[in-house]
Amino acid sequence: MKYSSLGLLLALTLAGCSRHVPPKSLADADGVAASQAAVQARELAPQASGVAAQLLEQAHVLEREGESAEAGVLAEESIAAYEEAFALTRAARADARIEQSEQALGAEKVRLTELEAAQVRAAREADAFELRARVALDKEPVVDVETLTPERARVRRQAAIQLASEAHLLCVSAVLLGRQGDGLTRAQADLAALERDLGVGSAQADVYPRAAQARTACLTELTLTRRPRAQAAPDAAGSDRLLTDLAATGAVFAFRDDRGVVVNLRAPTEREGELTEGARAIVELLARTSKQHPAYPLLVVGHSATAADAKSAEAAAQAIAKALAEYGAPAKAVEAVGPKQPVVDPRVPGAGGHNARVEVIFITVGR
Amino acid sequence: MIEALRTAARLEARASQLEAERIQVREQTDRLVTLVEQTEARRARALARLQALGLEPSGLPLPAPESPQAPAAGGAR
Repeated sequence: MKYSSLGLLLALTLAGCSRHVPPKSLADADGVAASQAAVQARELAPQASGVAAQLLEQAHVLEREGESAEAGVLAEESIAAYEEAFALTRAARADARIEQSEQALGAEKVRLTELEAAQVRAAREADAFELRARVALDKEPVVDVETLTPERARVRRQAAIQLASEAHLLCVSAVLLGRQGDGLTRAQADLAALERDLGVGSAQADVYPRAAQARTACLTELTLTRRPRAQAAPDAAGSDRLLTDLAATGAVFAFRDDRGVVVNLRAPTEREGELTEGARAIVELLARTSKQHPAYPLLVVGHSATAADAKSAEAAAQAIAKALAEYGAPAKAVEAVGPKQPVVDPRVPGAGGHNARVEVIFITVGR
Repeated sequence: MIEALRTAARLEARASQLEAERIQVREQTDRLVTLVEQTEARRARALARLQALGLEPSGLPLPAPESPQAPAAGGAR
């Protein structure tokens, strides 16, 4: 009895050993062949995928013929072939992304070029319209000078002082862009005579028309300096780029006027005349921007709230010019105009905080 | 196999680079769109001023309406 049980056990064990077990690699290869990656590979890398499928098919044939060891080897080769097909699928997908991106980039660049041209056109037209309107307003005759009341005379004189001061900065801008010639010499001589008269003249003399003419003459000189450069490079949108670059910093508010692109610094110095930390950071940023746009000379202008603060406004302008030079972007000129160009009526409470300022101006070249 | 992986990695890097460049140009374009709108608004204001002065016929088509972001007329002097 004991011996017959052992015999049965042995027979069962032998039967178990002789049962055919397919190699594990064949099942693994089947799994790989059924994966999502293999589906994509059939589409994007059909040749490599076909080789892998063929190897797997041969492995199954061998397995059915009882050649398990050879079937296992072929299944391993099939898995390797699938891995290669997957790599080629990645490459094909990246190729498609490249093609798509190149098309989109090309279209985007075309749009950018069109927009740049549209910006140049619109800016040129806007400049021309604004200039015509300004010239027309400047030429308007004063028909009622005889009826000037003392208050009106005072206001007109104030406006003349401001216009003369603006004229001075416009002529300085023209000089900084290299303007020379009789027209500029005349404009500067007329302006100097006007400034003398404004210094000593009585409040009754109406100098407003002369001041308006002086401003127009200096603006004309500046425009004539820019015109050949704008004509030589009509598509150059440099000052737009400068304005955009400054706006993109988020640290300063820049705007454009007749002289160029302007950034204002308010209360830039401490009691000892040293730049505040905030002002120094802005000056460093402006110097960096100036180095990126070297064609635009820098003009620094100090404005005070009252005649009494004129010296400290000039000192603040000098401190900023010194810092600009330290950061590698020296200003071409430093001017101080005292309280002649207020941005807010000085009689308004708190106006001083707005009027006392230092302007850093990038004199624009083209337009 | 290794060569295929290398090729895939190289192409993927190139695709990413192109996509980044496209995004950069797109941002530049968006900024320029704003600038063009502002300039057209300035042009419209200047034209309206000329028309008010009687220096331009008022029948001229006015450009696009003013952008809310456009700066004040004549700059902030």
